[in-house]
Amino acid sequence: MSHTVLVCDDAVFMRTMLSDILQQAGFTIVGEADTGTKAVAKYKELRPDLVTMDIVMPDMGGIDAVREITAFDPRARVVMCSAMGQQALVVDAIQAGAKDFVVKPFQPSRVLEAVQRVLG
Amino acid sequence: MDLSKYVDLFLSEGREHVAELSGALAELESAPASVDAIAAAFRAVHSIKGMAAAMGYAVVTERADTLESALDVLRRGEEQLTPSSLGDLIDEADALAREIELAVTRPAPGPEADGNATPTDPSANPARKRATHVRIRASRLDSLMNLVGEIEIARGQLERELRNVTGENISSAFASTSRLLSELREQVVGARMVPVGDVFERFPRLVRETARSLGKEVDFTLDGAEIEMDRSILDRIGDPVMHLLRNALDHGIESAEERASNGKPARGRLTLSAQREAGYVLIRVADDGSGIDRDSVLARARAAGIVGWDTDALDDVTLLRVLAHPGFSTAASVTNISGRGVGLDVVDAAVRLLGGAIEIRTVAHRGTAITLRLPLSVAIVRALIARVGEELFAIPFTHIVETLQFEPPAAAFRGAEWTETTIGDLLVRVVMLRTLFGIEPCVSERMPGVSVLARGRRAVFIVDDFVGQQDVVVKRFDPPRGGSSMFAGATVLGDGSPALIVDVNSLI
Repeated sequence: MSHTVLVCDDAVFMRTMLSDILQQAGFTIVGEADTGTKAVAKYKELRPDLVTMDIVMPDMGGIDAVREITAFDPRARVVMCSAMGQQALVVDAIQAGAKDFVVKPFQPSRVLEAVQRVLG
Repeated sequence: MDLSKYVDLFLSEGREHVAELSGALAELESAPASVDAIAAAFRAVHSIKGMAAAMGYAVVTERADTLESALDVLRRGEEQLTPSSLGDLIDEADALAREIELAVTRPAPGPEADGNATPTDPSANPARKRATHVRIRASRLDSLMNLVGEIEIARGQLERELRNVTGENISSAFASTSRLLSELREQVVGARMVPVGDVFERFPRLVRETARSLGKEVDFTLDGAEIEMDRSILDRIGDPVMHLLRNALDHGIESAEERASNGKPARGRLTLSAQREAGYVLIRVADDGSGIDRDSVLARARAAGIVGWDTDALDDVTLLRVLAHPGFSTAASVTNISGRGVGLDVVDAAVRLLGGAIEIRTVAHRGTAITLRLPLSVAIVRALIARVGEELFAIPFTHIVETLQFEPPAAAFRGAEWTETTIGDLLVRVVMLRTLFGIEPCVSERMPGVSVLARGRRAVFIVDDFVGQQDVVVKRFDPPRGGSSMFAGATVLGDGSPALIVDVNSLI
């Protein structure tokens, strides 16, 4: 069975592109979330193998969401998606429990590499 | 990775984020300290940046990045938002919105260069199919315009030479050359034109938000968004128009209760319209509010010495002159006058700088309409050509009311460069351009005069004679150091002779 993924980003565009990359590599997208709060709720509901998490989102940001998700499930595997120039935030995210990160714009190879490593 | 299938999604979502951004900025107009609005603006720009980077749209990414940094500084509380920095943000946001629209029209390189791309049917690629726009540096358009001007001059010389030559073939060839040339000029001027909607589309939201924050009910109409004008002019009238709209909302349109007690519909009406009129674009802001209180403006104007104590009423022209008087309308002492033209001097200055003029009409309890009369293009103005001494001068039509024959009273001009006359019941200053330009004055019984109106003032310029009228290509020059020039620029007429373009505003 293929791995399940929850994609969290406030831009439909980003979710679509990321979903396409992951689906083509054989992953199953089980859910999407456009705010941190929804991401946490969906994680609890779907228990995906992997979460991709945008940092800047309305309602609750990605870093707080990671914190809540890892508090709920310390084994949660979260890959942060950050934009250029957010290196400082990436450190926060890793401290909050994220396992790896990719930088936008996404390069499919880089995304898959990070995802495989986290799942590996 | 084939990015073309994401183009539509990029555009539609990009537009949504632009709308969120302008909504947040509009909120900041009324609540500059709103943390939520700053955060929302930041998020919208951040999303756009991420999407654009993914699509390989470098210009959009760069602009979004700049705007994001500016918002980030505010978000962190390192700087406070000021009206002028908010204006900059709004301009940046507008530019970003335009870039998003432009980006999808040109083929993007994408984040990964595809080395082994094979030529395909262009129509199969949606990103290519839309490639109907190219970006041109404004300076290149300026040179094109200059060249067109030069050719016009050459055409004028040719026309003069051809008067001595007969031949049907020659005159028909010349006629078609002339026709093609004017077509070419229109196209070049047209290349700089954009619809006013590009800048005005943010106003409906702004008006709604402002009206809400003032607790007023207003129906806003935007007419003529498709009317085109020179980009460089349009970019510079956004703020003045916004100012007029706010004035109308704040001081023109009354509260629902006050309107009801005056027998008016509870909802106020505010209209922003653009309209073409022979070589000009008229931008009008009209409300059905209380009108400007002439009596209180008159009282203040008398006290400030802007009008004489014998002035017992203000007509529209004088009213504008008072309101546009530097500092008058912004003085703290008038902040409580309802319906005053706050900051109209600032709007007036901005419009004058563009070679335009303001007109005002106001009726008590019926409303106020302020019209900005702007040239279609900065490059070309229609002008009256007049001779003063040996020199030719061009007087832009923007300011001309009429031409007339002035019959000076016997003592006029003696030792002075101006006198006064009455037109209707208005006392008007008559200026002898000869004296002003340092040419030996010459007084005769009937002298050709041009009646002009600028900054709410009438004046008559006395010239030697009228040569004609034509569209002139303006070549601007900087005023001499340390002083204001009497001239807005220079042009070369059809016969190759140079003429200075009179800056009517500075002479009044």
